[in-house]
Amino acid sequence: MPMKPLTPDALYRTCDPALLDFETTADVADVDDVIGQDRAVAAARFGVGIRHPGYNLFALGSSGTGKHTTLRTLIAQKASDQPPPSDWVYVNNFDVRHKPHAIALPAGKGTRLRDDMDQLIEDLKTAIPAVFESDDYSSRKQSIDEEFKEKQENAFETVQKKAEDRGIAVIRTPVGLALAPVHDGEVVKPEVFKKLPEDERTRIEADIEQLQDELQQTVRKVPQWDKERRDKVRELSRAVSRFAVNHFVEALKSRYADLAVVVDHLSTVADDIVHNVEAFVGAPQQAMPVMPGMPAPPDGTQFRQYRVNVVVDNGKTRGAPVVFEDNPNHANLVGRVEHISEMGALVTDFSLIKAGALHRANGGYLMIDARRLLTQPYAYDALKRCLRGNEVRIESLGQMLSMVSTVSLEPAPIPLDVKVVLIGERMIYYLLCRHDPDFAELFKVAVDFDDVIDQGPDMVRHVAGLIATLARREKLRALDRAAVARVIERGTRLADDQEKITARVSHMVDLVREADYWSAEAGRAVIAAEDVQTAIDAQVHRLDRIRERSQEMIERGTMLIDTSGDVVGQINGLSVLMLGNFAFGKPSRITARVRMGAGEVVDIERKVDLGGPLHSKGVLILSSYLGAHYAKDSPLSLSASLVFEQSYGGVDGDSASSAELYALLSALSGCAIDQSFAVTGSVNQNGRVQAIGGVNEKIEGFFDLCAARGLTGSQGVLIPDANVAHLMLRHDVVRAVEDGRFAIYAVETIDQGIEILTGQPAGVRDADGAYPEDSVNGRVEARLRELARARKRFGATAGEEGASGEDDDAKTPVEPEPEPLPEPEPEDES
Amino acid sequence: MTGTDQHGLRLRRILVGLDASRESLEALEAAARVAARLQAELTGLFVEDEDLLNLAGLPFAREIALTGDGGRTLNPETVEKDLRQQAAQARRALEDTAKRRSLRWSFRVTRGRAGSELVAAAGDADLVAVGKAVRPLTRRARLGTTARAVTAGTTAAVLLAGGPEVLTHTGRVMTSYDGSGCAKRALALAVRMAHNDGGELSVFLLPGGRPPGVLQQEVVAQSAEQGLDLQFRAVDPAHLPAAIHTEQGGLLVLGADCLPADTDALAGLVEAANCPVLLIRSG
Repeated sequence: MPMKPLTPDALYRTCDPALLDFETTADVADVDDVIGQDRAVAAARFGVGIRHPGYNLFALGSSGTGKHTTLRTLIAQKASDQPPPSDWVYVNNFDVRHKPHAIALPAGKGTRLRDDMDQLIEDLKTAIPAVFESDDYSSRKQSIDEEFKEKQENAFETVQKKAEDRGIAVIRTPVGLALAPVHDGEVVKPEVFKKLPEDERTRIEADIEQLQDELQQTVRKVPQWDKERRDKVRELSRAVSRFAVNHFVEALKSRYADLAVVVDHLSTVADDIVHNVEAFVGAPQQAMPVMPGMPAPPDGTQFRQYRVNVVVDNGKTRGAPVVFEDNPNHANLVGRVEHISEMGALVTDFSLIKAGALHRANGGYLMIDARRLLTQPYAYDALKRCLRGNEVRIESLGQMLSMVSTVSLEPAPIPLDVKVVLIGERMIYYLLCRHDPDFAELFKVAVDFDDVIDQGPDMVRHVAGLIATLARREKLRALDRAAVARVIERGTRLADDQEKITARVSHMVDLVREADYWSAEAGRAVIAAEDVQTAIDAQVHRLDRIRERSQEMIERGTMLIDTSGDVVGQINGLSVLMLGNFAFGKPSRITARVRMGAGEVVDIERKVDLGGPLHSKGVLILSSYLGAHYAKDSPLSLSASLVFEQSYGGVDGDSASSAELYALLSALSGCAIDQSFAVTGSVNQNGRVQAIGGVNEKIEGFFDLCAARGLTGSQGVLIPDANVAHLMLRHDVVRAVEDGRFAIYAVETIDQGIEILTGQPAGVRDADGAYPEDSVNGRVEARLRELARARKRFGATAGEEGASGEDDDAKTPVEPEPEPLPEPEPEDES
Repeated sequence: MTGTDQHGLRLRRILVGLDASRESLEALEAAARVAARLQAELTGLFVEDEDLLNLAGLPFAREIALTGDGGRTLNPETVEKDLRQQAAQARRALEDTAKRRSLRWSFRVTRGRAGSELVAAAGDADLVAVGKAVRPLTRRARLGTTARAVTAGTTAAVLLAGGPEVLTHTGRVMTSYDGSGCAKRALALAVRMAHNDGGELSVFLLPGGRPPGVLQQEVVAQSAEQGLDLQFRAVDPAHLPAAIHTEQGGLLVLGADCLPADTDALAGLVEAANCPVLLIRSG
């Protein structure tokens, strides 16, 4: 009994309008963004909830499956119940300046401390000079100066007086002092001195020598006295400045009495100000450049060391922070130390420390796109280092790689308590699992998002609700019931399964957005099913240039594909081309030739490296099938060659193996194959036809060709029975089947298929184990026996002549070399 | 503006005693400011100290450095060389200052004692500018020997600058006024200087039998045309040095003949001033 084609209802799963109990989506209440994904949601809840080291999350799945939305929603819910974490500030380390201190403060107190310190500086700028300008300070300082002057002048006057008593004067020289005998107020001239009595000269010289010693000693004491004076003035300055500083600092200390670390820092600041009080009493820095072209340090630079650098401010944070770092490079993750140009040199200090995403997310959650993280140099390593060490240490790449050796800052590390969520494709997850031993330790929670979800009545309603929610959120027109059904049907097509809906919500959202556009173009207030269909057609049209070119080549005869007639050893196979996000089916002619040989089926595609391993596997299965079915008792003495005609871009997959087998059986049996058919499906050693991918695209690809040439009613496609559940064909295909102009057969075995293709019975072994002679199987078996006998005869003759092996050239007709065609795209059978 | 006022005071030629010390350079700067106001000419005089040269000729002559790092033996050659270098340095300072203020200038070198040489050279000058105490051995020194010699030995006006307590150079001009002729001459010059230097004038009124109000009216009348910002302070003559000391000004103009003849009293006034002091003669 001949097989019947599939009925139209098997070709397309219509969304049941009865499930949609609304007129338009305006009547539908909002629902959660997340649909299906129970496994992922449970994993995410677990990962977000557990607070142990290493339980960070990796959300894996295809794009558009709602990874970001789901996680962000779950994390936001969890974070809102948590208290905001501490503020973090960096302050100067007055002992080791290149190692600034990090201080944790209750949320909101960081900015308060910063403002308080700024105010302290402003207050001291006024208060300290006022103290130094006071009468009290002036008189005490003057007293010290006078004391010094007194001491110095007394010493000089003592020497001067002693000299005058001996008729000697102290004379100023260009750089110092000298002693000379004087007479009547004038220095004694040399010639006069020479004429003095010798004892007088000796006395003068002795006096001068003694006075010189005394003068020398006095001069040497001056710097020491001056130092003593400066020390006393400094002590006085510190005493008066401490009085002024303490007045303000103690008030601040009492405000932060519950924060010992702040109190300690304030004490250190007070000590430093007292010891460097010149910064507050000196003249304001001049803006005049010291060297032409070089900017002077900005005013107030000297006060920067007392300020507070708030790197994390959670004062306005509600709940735990949730940070999504869009550009996760090394600096943006762990923070950085910036530099400014001063006097032509790059300088830095603690005030130029900038926080990274880890700082901001500390005490909360950090979401990062895994691909972006991995493409940033050293960013992933830095993240792991922080998670392993439970602290954020700011270190520049230059320092880390020892590329710079200049002194820079080494800010104190900040303790880290953060839940990191990486979001990426499956491939990245599995690559990291395989190649990074740290990964499994640090990202223990996999949140696996499925690509498809089960399609049941509840899910259909939920998806309808989601469509309504998104339409409202994006201020799109409402969709009527038919339009929603059409969107869901499209979701089913994208899932390639009548029982599923795609989980890639973004695709459906895009479709609704585009349908809204077309609805507006059509002047409708509500999106109708026609608008959705127009959007789908437009999506396809935008991307199907290559499909059109491919079909055009077939229609013009450049690519040889028959859609009518009967040919021995030739069949229409179907392949799928993936170009970006668009896939389409394309018929290919497959031919088979057989001759006597050593029992091998030659995959010509493989021989020239145009066939992939899966394709070769399918071809090798054919040898096994032939041997097991037809040559159990005799050697398989054929040599068969299989060719994907006019294929220049390479093929892979085994979805053409059933077509190749049909061609092979046709070539062996001599039964012609009806070229009105195209075939897809893989085959196993037992002759069972197995499911393949892209069944819809393949059927539509052959349908388009047939439709272009004119549907005859005898054309159709053979698909594996197991693929019937995947059928979501275009409406025009379904209509053609309804009208009897096109047929789709679901076959389970090769025998079923060969009967449809040849119109001949496949044949079943009788009680003696023989196929009927006029059946396809019988003819194949007879031909193989004939080849075996011929080989045996040939072997005997060749042995007499001393020859061995086969003479391919003598028995194999030469195939004409096909003309190259301009279509280099790779093909994928499955 | 010319160098002559209604009281016949002419300040066209200013002689500056220079020895490249800080004090003499401050005197130069003060003189240049006056010269610029009055369009006067600067003449620098560097005196090679005869005492120093005689000292260098003595067999035991030795210089003790004030830096305390020992010293060196002096001889005429090294001292003459030092003096030439100092003279060149003084000349450059004069040249730079004069060019900066677009003044006519000249420079001379003589040998002798600074005081007597300046007095001798002052015959051609209307004003002699010297350091209050040129390189004083002690900071307590009030007026140096050169300043004393010039103050006592010349009839020209004297500008004393470069004291140890010079704190500020505001544009405010100060003077004292007791209604005497020399006080009026000093006031006239002070008014001119104030008019050209910011318009602020502080007047210490020394009653001496006349009510301060009357003295103030006279000052106001004398300076009315200039539109100055006047400040008055009645002061007992005995407390004038203290009053001067607490006032911040850029120049103190005094009539020398109104002042006590006592040199120490003059020295006390000069020392009290935190700015250059210009002593005007009665002519």
